[in-house]
Amino acid sequence: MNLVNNFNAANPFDVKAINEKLDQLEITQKGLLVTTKYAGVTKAEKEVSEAYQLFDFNSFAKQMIAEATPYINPSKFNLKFFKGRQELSLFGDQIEINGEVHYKMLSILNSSDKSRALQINMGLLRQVCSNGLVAGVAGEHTSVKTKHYKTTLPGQVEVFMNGIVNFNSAIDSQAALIETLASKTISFSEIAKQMVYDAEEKLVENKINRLKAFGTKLMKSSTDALPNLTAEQIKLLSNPLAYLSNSKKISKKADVQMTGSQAFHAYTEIFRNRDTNAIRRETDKILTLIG
Amino acid sequence: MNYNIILQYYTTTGFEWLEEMVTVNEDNYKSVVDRYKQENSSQARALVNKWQSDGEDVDMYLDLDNENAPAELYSKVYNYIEKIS
Repeated sequence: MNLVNNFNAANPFDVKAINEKLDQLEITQKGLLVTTKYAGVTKAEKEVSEAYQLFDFNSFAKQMIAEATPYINPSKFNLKFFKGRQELSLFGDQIEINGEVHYKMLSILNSSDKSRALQINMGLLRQVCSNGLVAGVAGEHTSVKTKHYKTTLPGQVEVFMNGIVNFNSAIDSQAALIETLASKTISFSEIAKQMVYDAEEKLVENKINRLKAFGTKLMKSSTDALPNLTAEQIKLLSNPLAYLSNSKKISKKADVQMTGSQAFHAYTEIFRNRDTNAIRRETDKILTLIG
Repeated sequence: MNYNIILQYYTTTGFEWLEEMVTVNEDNYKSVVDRYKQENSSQARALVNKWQSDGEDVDMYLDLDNENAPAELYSKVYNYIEKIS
């Protein structure tokens, strides 16, 4: 069976179909018990604290579709309910960056079982990956991640709603930034050192797995693997720490040179299955590393 | 009477899944779910293993989506999946 994803399984944009599905979702609170039903079936029940703010996903999603449509011009949508989690994605206008197709995207992810924070993001999806938001858009107005607290949730959602008008200019800035990466060149050793050593040149243990994953993506990614790697380079990418921690000198011949775009795409692919907020955070990190 | 539901191995992160539209009724839903699980669980496990070995933090679970089944039947299928998962 083929693996489908958020983009290639998306349906043609149809407000009526979205509303019909949304209307089958019921999230209710009785005392401190939050119940999530879909098509009349209880899919999740969770006890919450007094501070918990119930989020009306149904109404909010409908409102967001109306508000975001002029900026995204959606042509496809995906609406998924999984246990106590709800996710709506809208895919819209195409933008070409460095010869690759990207889509404007809006994503709303909510949970009513305390498994996830509320996340609302607008940004760009790279078609060749098509698994999630690949380029977060800088600025508080295009991103929200907030736990379901009465004290914070309504205010953050309001800020997001008020900021939608800035979406297209934020997208333009992000596209321009990604475009410049194609003309930059960076070596694997430069990225590796910045990634796993802190300012005092001490090895940060919890970054090691990330570096290994980056090396693996450069070798094996189905969309962004580097071509024509030598045996020596494969050895380096397979076990970068052996070179770094033992102060082995990475010869110019063994080091791997890549464009900023290649580094950017291989790195962000590690996080393609993570939530949009993580992708945004990691996007910022790799952009800083590339410089 | 026959209805359509979508059986799926769904990722914890929500971006990818294996899915299949199946026809179920009051009599056959357990065998349909069992067949789907038997045919797809090893592929789901292999995908999770590959992603995790690539450094990704992701898992997959058996779930379903409704197409046109009435609530009573949908509920039975859902509860059966919960029981065998």
